[in-house]
Amino acid sequence: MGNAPRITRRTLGGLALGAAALAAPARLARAQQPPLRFGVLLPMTGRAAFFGNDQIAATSWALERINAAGGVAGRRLEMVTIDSQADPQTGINGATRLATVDRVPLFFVSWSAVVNAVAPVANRERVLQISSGATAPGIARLGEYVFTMYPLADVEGIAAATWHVRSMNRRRAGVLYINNESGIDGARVYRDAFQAAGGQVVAYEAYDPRATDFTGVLLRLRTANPDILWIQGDVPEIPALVSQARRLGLNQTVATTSIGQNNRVLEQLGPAAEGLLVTSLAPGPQDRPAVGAYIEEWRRRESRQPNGLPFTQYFYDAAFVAASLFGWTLQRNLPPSGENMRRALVEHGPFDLPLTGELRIDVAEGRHTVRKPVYVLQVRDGAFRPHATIGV
Amino acid sequence: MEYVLTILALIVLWTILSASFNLVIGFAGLLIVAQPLFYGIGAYATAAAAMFLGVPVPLAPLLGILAALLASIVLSVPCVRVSGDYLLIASIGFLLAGLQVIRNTESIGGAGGLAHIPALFEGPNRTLWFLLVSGAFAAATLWLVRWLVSGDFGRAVVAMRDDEEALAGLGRDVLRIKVFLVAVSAGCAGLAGGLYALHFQFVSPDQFELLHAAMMLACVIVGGIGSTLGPPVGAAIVIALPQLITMLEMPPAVMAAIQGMLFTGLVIAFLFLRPQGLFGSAAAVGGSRVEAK
Amino acid sequence: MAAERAAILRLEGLEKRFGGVVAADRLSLSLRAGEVLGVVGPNGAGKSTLFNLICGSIPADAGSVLLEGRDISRLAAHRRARLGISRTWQHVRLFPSLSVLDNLVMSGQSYPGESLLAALFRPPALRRAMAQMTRAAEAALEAVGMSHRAGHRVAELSYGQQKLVGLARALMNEGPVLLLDEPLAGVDPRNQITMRAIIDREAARGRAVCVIEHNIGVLRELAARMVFMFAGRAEAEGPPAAILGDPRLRRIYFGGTA
Ligand SMILES: Nc1ncnc2c1ncn2[C@@H]1O[C@H](COP(=O)(O)OP(=O)(O)OP(=O)(O)O)[C@@H](O)[C@H]1O
Ligand SMILES: [Mg+2]
Repeated sequence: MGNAPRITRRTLGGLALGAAALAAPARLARAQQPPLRFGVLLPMTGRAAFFGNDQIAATSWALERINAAGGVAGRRLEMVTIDSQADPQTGINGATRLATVDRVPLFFVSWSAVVNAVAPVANRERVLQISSGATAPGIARLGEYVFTMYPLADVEGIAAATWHVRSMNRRRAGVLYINNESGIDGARVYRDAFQAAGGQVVAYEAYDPRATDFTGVLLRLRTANPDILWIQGDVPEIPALVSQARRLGLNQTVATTSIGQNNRVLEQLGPAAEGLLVTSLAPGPQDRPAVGAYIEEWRRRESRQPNGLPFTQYFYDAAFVAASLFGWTLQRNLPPSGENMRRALVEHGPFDLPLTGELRIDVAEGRHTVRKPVYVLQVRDGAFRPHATIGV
Repeated sequence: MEYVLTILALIVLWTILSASFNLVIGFAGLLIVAQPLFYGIGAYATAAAAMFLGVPVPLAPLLGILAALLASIVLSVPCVRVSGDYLLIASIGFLLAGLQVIRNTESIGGAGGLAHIPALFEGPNRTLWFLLVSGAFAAATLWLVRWLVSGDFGRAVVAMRDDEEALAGLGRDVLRIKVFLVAVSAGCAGLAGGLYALHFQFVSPDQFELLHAAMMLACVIVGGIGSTLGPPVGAAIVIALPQLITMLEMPPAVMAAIQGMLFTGLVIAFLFLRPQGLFGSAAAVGGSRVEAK
Repeated sequence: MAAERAAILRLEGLEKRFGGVVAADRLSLSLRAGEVLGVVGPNGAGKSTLFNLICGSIPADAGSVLLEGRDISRLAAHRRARLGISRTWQHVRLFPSLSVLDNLVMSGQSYPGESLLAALFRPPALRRAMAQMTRAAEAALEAVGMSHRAGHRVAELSYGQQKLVGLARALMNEGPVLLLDEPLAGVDPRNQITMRAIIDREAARGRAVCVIEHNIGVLRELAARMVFMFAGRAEAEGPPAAILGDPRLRRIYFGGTA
């Protein structure tokens, strides 16, 4: 009687072993082709989640497409998503998990503060980090394993300023910028480029991030009499700025960054938005038919436009970058380690991506940037219409 | 493993933070919530000392401690005279203003943060070493707090929390007790900041927001207000819980609700169900003063 | 006799308002060495406020407090206590988280607990001072007959016992001024005898003692001089018989409580 349980346990143990042995060949067969996995570190909860979740959706749709077409050399491509909450510390924890628990050789990340915060983890753990939606200029110099496929702040400002002088024949710029990091940096880039192209910056005025009345700065601007107004600002105050400028009789062309390419600006300004120039860092449907199909896919699946369309375009294409890098290592029979991923990126050459076009990553040491064409849109008949493309 | 060690390192740093926060908010009963700023000042001063002033990396946290201590005096000397809600408001204002200064100081990275901070330990076992060293500092902090609230000084602190006006009427310098406590607490937070900067190698103003005071408050309340053993347990729960939750596979909408409510939920649940926290004694919560009247 | 009893504490034109309430109205008084001054008056007359103004727990709107000729009006409460102004509170205000003995130690004038260096290093001189203060506290408890309660928590004491401990705590400060706010209220007759003996003794030692009391029968035996307060004013001042015999003041007093 007393022996019975022991026997049972032994029997059970034997059964378990046997089952494992039976299962082994099946597992082995699959182990020959385990999926290829990369990480995505984005805000899935918290204040920036409405951007992050749409970016994840974009990446996952791209993965569906890649896997439906056979994956990468016959292997499935998968992503591991981790919530960064757009918070640096949560990002560090997430990146550490990606690198040391999930052991992905490559991850994509967005939000400047998070991109900055996780860079030491990527460098230390030798995991390739690709920023796909952050513009802080310092990102170019975050270390050996940190790259960006999204153009940093200077690309947009330089392109716009040069184009204003050379193609629009403007000579006197009035610059208005929000007094925070991105405003200060962005305005400086625009000013230097405008002057380098032969123009003159006749007014250079800052406003407080919480300001709602801009009469003071606008009056000073009017006195300076510029022939173009460049606003380096943020979404909430741009409509107020433009409408107050118009009311004070500033009828010059107003131009601003990709921040201005936002439906809220159109809604709040109404007819006063007509003629507004905005830049965009990703091609629109007129530039690339695939983008039209992509927007159509959003309408079909989610019955809406994505939040932050250009950013989602980059995240869609991130899956294709990952596929190319994995493909590159597999082709050369190299294990897909972080080191080899980095090597793949450095040696790969330009990528041809469905939604953002050609991508050439500048891999010069200590200056990891990317050059992209800048698209100019103009508000006409209440919508952003393509106006010009400024080449690299 | 590295991931677990990283989380443990954070728990250890947050033990220092919540133990020192507890000293002010739990033992002294002062509603000063500028602790994240002292943490941040410690981190920035340490980073700046190591990067720009040529201070040897292991000594740099000393500057962090000093800077946080001085900042606390700037706040406490004019402010501890007022009490209760005013102190709360003054300290929130100080925190926001301090962060604003950091955001506008380009030499330390401004709003974008300061990267390329040298590390205290390098190599494959760096996190383990860091854990040992900061663990020792956390133990020292717990010991310091315990020692401060027992003994002669501690008795005056306890009496001050019981009845500040009576204590002053007996000839005790209540202001000095408060300034001293706030300074010690800020110094500890500065140390935690220094250690943080030298391990994670990046600091930005976002990491020292008011939200983090709410997290520290959650640590203190979960562990037990005015208890000496509560902080490590409170810190462990507050740091590890969000990580554990992310391991559950849940749809983003559910996850967002849980993460968003986590700290508030913890604080409210504990205040209602177990106001003394996991380790506090009921007497430490206050209210026993009524009996004396 | 008047020459012998020098004024130790002088109040000159003290004023205090709480919103519309006048709690002190051009109050001028003096306390003399070796004398017990009784303060009477209806509820809300401003008697406790008078003590608060003297010891500095609340700032006066106008007027000054002079201790042995020195203007102490600008000093913080703890500085005044250290200069020798000792007091009890109407509602006792012992520290409930401390033991009875530690309550007394907190009032010891060489208690260095709040000093940074002392807390850090605890030099031998400090240890000696602490030991001495503990002995003094034990003696003070003995004097009020509460030695057997030294290690107890305040909450375990009856209200009357708390009042005794409050008095003993005030006695730890051996300065020249002793302010007692309703020391006899709520104390049983046997302990009232102890209290009165202590008050007499402290005055006999040359301290200026000021006692607020509603128990007028006891106060007239204790005090050589009385002040009648009403609406923040010192309405009358003089020997107990004169104050208590004044029908107008009797009307105010009993009218005021009705
Ligand atoms: N801190 C305070 N804030 C507002 N009003 C106060 C304050 N202290 C006292 N008062 C008011 O001042 C007046 C005098 O109060 P006080 O306590 O001095 O009276 P009292 O003569 O001691 O009365 P009792 O005999 O009841 O103890 C009262 O109307 C009281 O309400
Ligand atoms: Mg009174």
